[in-house]
Amino acid sequence: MRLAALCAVCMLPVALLRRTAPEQALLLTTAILAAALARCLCLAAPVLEEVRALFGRAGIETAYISVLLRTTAAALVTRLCADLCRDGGSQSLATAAETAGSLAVLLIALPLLRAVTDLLLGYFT
Amino acid sequence: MKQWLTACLFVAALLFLCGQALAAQLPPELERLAPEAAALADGGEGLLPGVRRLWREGWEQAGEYLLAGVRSTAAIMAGVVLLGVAESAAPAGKDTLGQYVSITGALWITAVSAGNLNALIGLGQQTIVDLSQLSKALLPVLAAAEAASGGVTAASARQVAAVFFSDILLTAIERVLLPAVYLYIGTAAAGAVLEGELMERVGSLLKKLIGWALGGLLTLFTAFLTISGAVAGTADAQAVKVAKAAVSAAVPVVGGILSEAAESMLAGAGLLRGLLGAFGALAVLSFCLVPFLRLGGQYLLYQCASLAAAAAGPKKLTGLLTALGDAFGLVLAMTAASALLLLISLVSSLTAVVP
Repeated sequence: MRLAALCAVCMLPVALLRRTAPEQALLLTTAILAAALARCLCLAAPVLEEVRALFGRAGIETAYISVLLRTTAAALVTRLCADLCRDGGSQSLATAAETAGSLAVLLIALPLLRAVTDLLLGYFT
Repeated sequence: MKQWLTACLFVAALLFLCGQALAAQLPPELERLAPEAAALADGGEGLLPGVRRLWREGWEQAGEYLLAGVRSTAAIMAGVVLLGVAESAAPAGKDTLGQYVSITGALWITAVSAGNLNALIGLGQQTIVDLSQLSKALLPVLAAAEAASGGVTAASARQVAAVFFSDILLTAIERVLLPAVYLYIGTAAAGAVLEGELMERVGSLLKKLIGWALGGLLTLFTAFLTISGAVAGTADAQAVKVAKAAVSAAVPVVGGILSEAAESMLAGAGLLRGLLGAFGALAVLSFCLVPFLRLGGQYLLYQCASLAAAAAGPKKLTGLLTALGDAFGLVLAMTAASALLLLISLVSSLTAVVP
């Protein structure tokens, strides 16, 4: 709630700054974003612990849990970075950030690809 | 000389009569194959108390596995919700990131289910092999008992058909249908990743083909048993009548007694048939109950997970969950078909009209 209020309150100065000094507007946006992310991470930590415990109790391998959490984090961070780049007016940087994020997600998912291939080909070998 | 002949025939008649008691015991090979069912059948508790006991024990065994299944399904649902969060940041199909997140989601669900899939498909396959071994040991004994009851032609026809169809079913399951299940899982995973509905259609076709193959084989088997049973039963009845009349007329003095003794032996063979039938039904149940409960439970859990995840998760991933549940259902259908084939053989042999 407080984070939502912070974002709403800061929207006006950001909009004003964008007309006169776009660089400062971008810096302010980045600062607010960093603060919001830090707060979100603090709030999400106990939830993530709960999720880890739930997966652990279900007997799901730690590697798979890690893949899931890293993918979610990579998707969120990439989206935020790409939006920040678009706010700064650089579409190409946004695309680069999204490409990097996609590659990161693909790399994170490689052990899953191996596991699924083992499952599907396991019967035939 | 005539007295000696009469004495010998009397001893032979006595042996026939005692044969009734000796015959009503299970062969050791069958006891070794299914000791639990053999103990229940030999205990003389009857079929229903045996079924009740097997059900209680099977439920206790399967309960633990079902609990583990509930836990793993709950974790998969939690994963689907988290993947929904990731997909909200990068909607599927809109850009490269969204596509990769979608791919990761499909791979994650399939990889996490891999343990369950491997274990339960293996369990189904093992049960099918066990049932095939049981049928190879039980059906010849049952056929021998039926032949001793006078149904020689029907017994051999039934025995040949059961072994033939059982072999076809086992070969089809091992070489075609189980690989088709893995193919179905692959198409389901691919369908969750790719755009369009091509993979879903291929998966649906595979599912139908497996169903048709199993249903067709069982229908053919039942039709063959019905036709061959009707023809062979009449031939057997005629043969027994002729044999009885021949013995009665050919052997002087004791011909009638021998004929009566032979009837008593036929009744003994019928008793053995009943015992083998009860043993067979209990053995099939003891082999299949736990796999049925586990596969059926897992199927239901995945369907429920798919329904629940539909509220929060991406549509493609809930479709994948349904398809994975269907894979358990297909293995369950294969195991059920094997059990049904053996049960049809048993019931057909037991209900066959013996002259």
